[in-house]
Amino acid sequence: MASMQKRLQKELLALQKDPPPGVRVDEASVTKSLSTWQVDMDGAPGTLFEGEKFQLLFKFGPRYPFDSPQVVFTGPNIPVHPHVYSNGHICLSILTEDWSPALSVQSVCLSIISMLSSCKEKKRPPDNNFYVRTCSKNPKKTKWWYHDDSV
Amino acid sequence: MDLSHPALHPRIHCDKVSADGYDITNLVSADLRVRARGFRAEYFIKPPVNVILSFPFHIHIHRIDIDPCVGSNVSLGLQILTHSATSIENWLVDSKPGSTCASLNSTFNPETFNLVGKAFLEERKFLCFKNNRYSPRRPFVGKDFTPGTLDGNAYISNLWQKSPALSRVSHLMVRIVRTQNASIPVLRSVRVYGQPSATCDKEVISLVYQISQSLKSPPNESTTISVQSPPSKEEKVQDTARTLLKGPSEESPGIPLEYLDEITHELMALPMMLPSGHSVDQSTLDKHSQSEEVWGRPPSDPFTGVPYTRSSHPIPNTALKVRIDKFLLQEGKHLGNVGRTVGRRTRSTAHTLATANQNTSHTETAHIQQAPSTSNAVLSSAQVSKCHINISNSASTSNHAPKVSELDTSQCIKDSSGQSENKAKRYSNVHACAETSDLRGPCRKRPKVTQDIQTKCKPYSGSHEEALSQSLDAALARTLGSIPAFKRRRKEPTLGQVAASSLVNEDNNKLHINKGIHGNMTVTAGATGSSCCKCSSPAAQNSCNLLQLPCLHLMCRRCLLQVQQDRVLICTLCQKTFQTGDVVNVHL
Repeated sequence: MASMQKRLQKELLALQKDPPPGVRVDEASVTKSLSTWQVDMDGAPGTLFEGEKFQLLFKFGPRYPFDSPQVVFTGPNIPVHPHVYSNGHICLSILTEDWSPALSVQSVCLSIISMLSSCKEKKRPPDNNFYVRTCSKNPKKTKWWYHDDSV
Repeated sequence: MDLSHPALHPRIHCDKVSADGYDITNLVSADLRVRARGFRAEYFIKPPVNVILSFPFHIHIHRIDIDPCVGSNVSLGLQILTHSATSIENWLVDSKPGSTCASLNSTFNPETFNLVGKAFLEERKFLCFKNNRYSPRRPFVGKDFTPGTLDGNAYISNLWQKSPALSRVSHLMVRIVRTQNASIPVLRSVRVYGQPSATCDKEVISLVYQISQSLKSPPNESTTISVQSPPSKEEKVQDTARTLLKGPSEESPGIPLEYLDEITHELMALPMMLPSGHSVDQSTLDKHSQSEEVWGRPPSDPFTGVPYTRSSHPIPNTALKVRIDKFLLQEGKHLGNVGRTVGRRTRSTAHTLATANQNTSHTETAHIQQAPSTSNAVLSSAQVSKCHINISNSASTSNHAPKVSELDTSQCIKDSSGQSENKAKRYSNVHACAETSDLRGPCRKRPKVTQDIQTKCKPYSGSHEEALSQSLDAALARTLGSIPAFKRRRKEPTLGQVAASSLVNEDNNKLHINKGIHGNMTVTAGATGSSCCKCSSPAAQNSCNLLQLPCLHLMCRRCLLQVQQDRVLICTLCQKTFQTGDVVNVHL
């Protein structure tokens, strides 16, 4: 537990000091508990999501960083993207099986930004309605099938 | 002045049972080490816990400093209560101070105490209760009687202003009402600053003044107290998120970044160098391969995701380990609870190892110089060869290299340290070797090893006293002979051919293992020597780095380059072919 705290502490400081463009940590959310972060995110300029604002919710388990964090979109605006379900779940391999302890909150944010940026057409995933009705609350419980390897 | 100073013999009592070694009397012990240990209740004790300090005279409280953290346990909720008995026995004046643990009289009950202050901490912090109305009276004025300034991090709470409850106190109760995460109630230190109450007799006041003056005379007294009282500055693991936002200076002050694991940001206990060039702790790698296993993948480099192969896998970063250990030995006391592989007990070993390492070359020359001066060189050589054969026997029967290596390490340490001492000292050292080696050797020594030593020493132990009475030199040579002084043996021309060949092999083995263990390497020696298998020049001589072939034989770089040019990649010893990519560097 202590090791997770220390690591999160470092990441938080790094993210506050030197955040990637368009990424801000909501400090109020972190003050309550270190294991839940809210990260505000802007759509990258020059992409389909330019000017939009999103919120990401990070939940860290006790085995972090050896176990990936739960990352979902929250808030009023959930991006319409072929890899993002309308309940906020994200289909991104580094959030489940391709996670590596060398990755961090910052690299996850960057991956998501790049995922959004590479979008060519704003639409929901093909199985959105079915998935949203049947899925577990925790996106990590989902057995993801990665349809698209382009991202 | 510090009224809880052991010189004033305050009595302390706790209404709950305390853990072994963490008795409540630790808090007022005159022994600094015992006092630093603090108080910890037995593990099943839950709050509230009442700790009562009774003073030999009425006191006027100025400030109460409490350090509520022992190890990972923290007492978060504390109340201060005072009691003012009308008549108290003054054991400073009346009789000799007995035990510090007061058996409080039976009439005593917590009801008579007045609550004068309470504090609820949210995290590990030093706690200070202040009486703002305190004003010093003669003769207790001046700098010597004011308590040291507080660390900025301390939690300061004011004592409530009920005049008799603070100015005429005979008993002070610290009540622990809450602990962190339902852990054990603890107190690291309780210091009560103040002065004797105005109602005290003149003689009491003068006596207390005298005691305080005598305490002042050793100049370091006040400093030791101030060293004692500040909170543990090393606190790095802050539990609440609020403190994190304060800034990076808060945690892990002064640990160089390169000593921290890149993944967990903890100090590395066993740094491993990954194929990707990063250094992380072994425990991190274990956890990583565990989580990789969940996905059905082989262990891989966390940074690149490339699975390990025989030629590309994590190797112990011994150089970094040495530096971390050095850093820990120097700064360890300021760091508090950090994982480490050098501890109190192994510290001496580490030192010895370090010196042994530095002195290796020196020892070698010492050996050579020593050889002619030893009058019974032949005798000793005979003894040594016997001893060596013993070792090789045990090696072959146990066929478990680390076991032998541990044994050898301890003896080699012994050997080199013995050599660098003067002669007489060396003798006694060496004599003690057999008994102490299991203490001095690496801490994970097994009983089997001691057995080996004993069996080896048997032939000499009987006649040792006789030999000693006859000639010191002879006895010395004999005892020294029981130690594998392999470096000298190599130079001996008188050695028998058979013994020599087995010896050199054995020696090389040992040198290899010894160094390997020293660097915390887990190299399995197998049948490897530390010399090149082609030009057979040992590593120590040509100072050329060796490389390990897949068959575990070693070859120096020069020969390897030659071999590579000739395009015959065959080990000269076992005739096995190998690839250039499978050759790994060996650091001796």
